[in-house]
Order: sequence, then structure tokens, then C-alpha cells
Amino acid sequence: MKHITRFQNRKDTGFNKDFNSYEEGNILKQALFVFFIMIFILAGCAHQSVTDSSVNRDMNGNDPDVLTTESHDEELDFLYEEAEEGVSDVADPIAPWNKAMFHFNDKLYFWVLKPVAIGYKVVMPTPARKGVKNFFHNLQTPPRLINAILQAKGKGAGSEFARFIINSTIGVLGFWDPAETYLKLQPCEEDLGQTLGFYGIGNGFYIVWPFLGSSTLRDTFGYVGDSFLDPVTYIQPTEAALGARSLSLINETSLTLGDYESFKDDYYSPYEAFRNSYIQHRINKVEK
Amino acid sequence: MTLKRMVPIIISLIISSSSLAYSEQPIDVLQVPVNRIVKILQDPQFKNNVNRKLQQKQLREVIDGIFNFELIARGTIDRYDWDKFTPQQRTEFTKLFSEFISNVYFNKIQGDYTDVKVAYLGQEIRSDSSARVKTVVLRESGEIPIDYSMKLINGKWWVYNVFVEGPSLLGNYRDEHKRILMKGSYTDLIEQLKKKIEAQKSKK
Repeated sequence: MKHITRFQNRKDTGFNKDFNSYEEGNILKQALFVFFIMIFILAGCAHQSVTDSSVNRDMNGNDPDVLTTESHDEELDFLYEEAEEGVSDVADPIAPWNKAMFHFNDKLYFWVLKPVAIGYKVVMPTPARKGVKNFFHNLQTPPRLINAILQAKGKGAGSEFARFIINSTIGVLGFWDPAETYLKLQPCEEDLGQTLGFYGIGNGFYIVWPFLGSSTLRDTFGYVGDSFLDPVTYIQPTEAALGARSLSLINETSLTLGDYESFKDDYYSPYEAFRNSYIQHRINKVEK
Repeated sequence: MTLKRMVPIIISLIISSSSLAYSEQPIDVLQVPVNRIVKILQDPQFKNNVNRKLQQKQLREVIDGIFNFELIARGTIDRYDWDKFTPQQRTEFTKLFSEFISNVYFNKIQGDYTDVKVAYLGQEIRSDSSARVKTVVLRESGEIPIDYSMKLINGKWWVYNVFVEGPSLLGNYRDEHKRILMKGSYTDLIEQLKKKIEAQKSKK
């Protein structure tokens, strides 16, 4: 996995050498430092404002009884407004690169990821695969917790904290999720990209990364920032970290086999449809 | 009858009268067909993709009673583009897109959702005649939040938009149709749509 190697290489070139010697608190400080640097950088880059998606709209009191295919335009304002809201408006200045990477990821999925995931599925029963998914999800609590705090989401942060304590102990290292099963403690799926969005930073532009897939300038910074808080990044030796990421990816793929294929079947031009879906998905997450 | 005894009666009267005024809550209206769909999907006679056609027929009956395909098809076309369509073209497009989108839906749920539960999270009333109902589909691999936009037409609630994890049906296809119509004509759109429907048919 290229993206992982990229990270690991940095580890070997001294950048992370000092990093490893730091204590936990210093890592947090570093992450916050990176975070604020990014805010400055992104504030400059963010020229693209997210489409207005305020939820409350007046239905201008039209008589709903007369709605038909041939009804007048104004009566269908509710329909057009909602439809228009769902169309993303993201800049795509590096479309040739993005399309090439989209193509690359597509082949990666069909030639490598999917066959491997199918084999993996044969030997790993579903409960085991769900356990692996839970394990990685639990391990990656720090970025979610920090981002919930950064967005002043007290309830979400509290839930993440309690979930981590409960699932790491009673849930046996996070393989089970008793916090949700018995206490209805929902995870708070926050990341740095959303935090930046929360503070009004726009997408910048659309980027497709090999292996990682759809992203934007903002979300890329978010991803890098979050990876400092992700314990998997600090697994030694490098090969083990790489293995852990691959396992997580294959496990995830094995649980969602067929989803990508059906998405491609459902749209005329998958690249654009994927871009629109990704942006809408992120807008929705930032709003939450 | 003492006053104490009357309290529950009065309360229940108030509740029943208010529920009469709002007898048709969109969330309740939606629950009936959605639960019915789940039931059809879990019906043992259709296990392992046996009798797929019959299952589709049953599903179609249910979704035709809750999804307003005329509104859905129209919402995916920009109003200026729609104005340029002739009445025949409008009818043709609505018919083809309805077929396409219900096939998309069938392909998604058939076979895949045998072990599925739907949780109804609540509804957001946006006006007298419009609402959004929030649900979560719990399947083996995880949860999928699905929201439905509903409109009251002739005293009946209809679904005209579906949000799956954020992106909406109308938004996604509007984006696609806009792009096709910007570069090409109505004929190109229909051609692409027919091609997609053919592909769906050959897959079955």
C-alpha cells in the first residue's frame, strides 16, 4: 500500500524519529500544532463555499392537491430546491489526475482487493469479521474523540470516551461492542476534515488518491492530521503497521462486497457520480 | 365516577382526538410498505434468488403505492430542460426513468437484505404537506441511514426523494442528467437511459 509506505518512510527519515521519543502529551501537542497550521493554510485555499443546504424551507403554501406531472413550475419549487441541494458544487481542477486515479482504484478493487476479500470471507466467518472491524474502530477512538472535543460536541466526546473504556475492557480489546449493544452508546464519527468544515473551511477542490479514494484538499489535510492520532500509525516495525492497515482494508471490503459494483451499475458516469456522492456525504457529515 | 378515575379517560380522549386530527402521520404511512418490503425480502420462498421475478412483482406493487415516480423523474431534470421536452418526451422519460430507478432499487435489495431490520428514528414535519422520515437499515455489515422525503398529495403521503448516507437520489441523478443534457440532447439522454436498462436486464 503506497500511502502507508509514504507514512512509514517518513518515520525512517528522522521526521518521526523524534516523534517516537515524544511522550503521549507531546504527540497531542504536535497534532494540535499541525491542526492550527492547517487552518491557516486552508483558510487561504478555501475559495469554494459549500452549497447552501439550510434545511428549513417554506413550502410557500401551495395547494398540494394539484400536483401532477403537468403542474406549474412554482408548485414544484419544493422538489427542485431539494434536488438542487443534492448537486455538489466542487471544483475539480485536477480532473485528469483524478480520473486516472479513479481508474487505478477501480482496477485495484477488481484485480486485487475483491479477490483477496472473497478468499478472506471464506475463511473468516461473519462474526469474526465484525469483530475485526470493531477492533480497528475501537483502536481509532483518539481521532474521533479529539475531533468531537474540537467541535464542542460534549455528548459525542463523552460517548466516545465511555465506549473506549467499556469496549476495550468488557468488549475484550474492542472486538465486541457492548457499549452500543447494552448501553446504546453510539459512536461519534468525527474526523479532522469535518472539524475543519465545522469551522467554515470549504472543500478546496476534489482529489482522488490511489488506495484511499475520494477526498478533497480539506479532507486530505484532515486525513494526515488524524493519522497522527491513529495508533496504527505508530505500530513498529513498519511491516506490521502496513499489515494492520491491509487487514483492516480487506476486512472492510469483505463486509461491503458488491456495493461498489452496484454503485457503478446505477449511474451513467461513475466518476462524476462518485464525486457528487462523496461531496454530499461529507456535507451531510459536517452538518451533523 | 370520581374525578381521579376520569383523568385517564379525559387524557385518552385528548390523545385520540389529536391523533384523529393528525391521523396520517408520514412516519406511520411509510412503515406499512417498508415493513411489507422487508417481509417480502425475507420470505423463504424467494431464498437464494428463487422466483426473483415473482418477488419483483410483489415488491413493485408495494413501491408503486408509496413512491411517486412522476415527481422523482421530474426532480432529476432541470426545470429549463424539462420545459424544452415535448409532452411525449416527458411521458417517455418518466416511464423509462421509473423503470430504471425501480430496477436500481430491486437490484440493491434483492438477495442482499435477507437479514435486515429497519429502525424508524423519527420524522421532521416541514410544512402541512411535507415531511422527512428518518430510518436506519440494519444489515449484517453495518447500519445504513436512509431518509425519505414525503409530500402530501390528494390526502396521501408519497415518497419523492431518498437520502442514503447523505447523498440523495434526486441530487445524484439531477447531477448526471444535467451533464448529459449540457453536452447532448434529449435523444442522448434517452439513449443512455435505455442502455442502462438493457444492462440491468442482462444482469438478471
